[in-house]
Amino acid sequence: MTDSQLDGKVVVVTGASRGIGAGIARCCLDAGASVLGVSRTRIPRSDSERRADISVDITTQGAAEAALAAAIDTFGRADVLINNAAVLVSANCWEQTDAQWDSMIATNLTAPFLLAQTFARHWVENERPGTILNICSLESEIAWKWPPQSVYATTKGALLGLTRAMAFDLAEFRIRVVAIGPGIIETDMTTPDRDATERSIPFRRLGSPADIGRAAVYLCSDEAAYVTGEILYVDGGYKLR
Amino acid sequence: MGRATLRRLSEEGAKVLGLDLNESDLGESCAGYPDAESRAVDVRDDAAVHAMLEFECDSLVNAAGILRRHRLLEHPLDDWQTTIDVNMKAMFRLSREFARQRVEAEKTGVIVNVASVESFTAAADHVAYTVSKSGVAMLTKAFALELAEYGIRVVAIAPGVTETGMNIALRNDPDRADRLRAPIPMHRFAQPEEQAGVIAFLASDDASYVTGAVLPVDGGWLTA
Repeated sequence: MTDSQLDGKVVVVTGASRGIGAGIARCCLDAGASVLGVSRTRIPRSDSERRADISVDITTQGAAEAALAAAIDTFGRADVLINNAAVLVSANCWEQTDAQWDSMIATNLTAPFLLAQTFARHWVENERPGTILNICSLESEIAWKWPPQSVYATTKGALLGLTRAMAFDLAEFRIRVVAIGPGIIETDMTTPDRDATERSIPFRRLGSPADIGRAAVYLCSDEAAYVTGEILYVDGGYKLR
Repeated sequence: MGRATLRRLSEEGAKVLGLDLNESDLGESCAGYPDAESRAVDVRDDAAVHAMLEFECDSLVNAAGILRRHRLLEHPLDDWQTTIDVNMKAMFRLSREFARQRVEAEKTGVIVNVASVESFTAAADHVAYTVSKSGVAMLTKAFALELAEYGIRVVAIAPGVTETGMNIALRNDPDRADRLRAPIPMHRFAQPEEQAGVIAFLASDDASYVTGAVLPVDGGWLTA
């Protein structure tokens, strides 16, 4: 990766305040992009004039329009949307509640759809290209044993479907839609039994947010100009098992 | 597909309860099948769950689904939400309550979900449907993983284009029908009975080692 792969591009990242989202935002910034972070909590102001953050709950009405407007107001344009924000509530499949379903669908699926639709409309109306990156999961295609999280898995499978469907329908407008499937990533939100977890991964180490960030930079850059509708798993070989 | 499945399973000797929104369609489905029961309910409602639980089935076939076509950039939120609710949330709720009933009673069981080739591919102006069917594939796998140790199998079929009410208008337009038929290796659409046959197999003891699978029944669609 060079430090100019995203030069001149304006990237909007949801869930940018911590974990994988923070790693993606950092890597995009290092690659020359201007970055607008969108999260429910505002983070401390960055010392880079190319970084700004807004506090928005993406599941509320008008959130997508607010995110797009903030990017244009702050940086004059928006070139890339990265749907990273997600929630996970685990329970046995016979105990997951309707409220848990509604919450995870709203954040993990409907908000990404509305954001992507809003940004795509803007690009089409202005005859500009654009890129949408959906942060999916291993659970877009394989289920997770413990803790049980069937509803989360359903939303991640559906988000992969969204990636394919939108890539197909937006191809004629030169809008690419892609996905990353992170493996087990070390963040302050996950507290795995480290030794056991590392033994389960062919690479014998947890992934880092920067591992995902670097893949995001590639997929959102012009280097990936012929890639659309595809998911790249960044998982240290986990899915091979 | 649901109608064909109700009939096929009845012919196989099962006692079947059919649920559907439309009472007269249900009546037609059950005509000639005096042992089959039916209840007109919306699968999204608690009434559907209660009807299923009262019947105490050992197999649940989630075949209800809708398809609403829209240009992506004009896709209204209400049709998005309705598609998610009918195709995914209703399936989740029925599967959850079925699983709870069987696990608490320490009984085995089978869930067969109707997914789609669009669990793996895309089709123009189908975003909500494609999304919902991709979700169904993972719902199937996740439930299968959790319920395997309780002797409950969870599987899905991924139908290709099948002659049902979902595509009557398209099939009646010769040009559109030809264009849709052309890339199918078998050069024809499926009959609902062909999907029902695979559902019957998957629900049977012949499929006793099959769980978590999403089986295409697509005339070869996914080969190319």
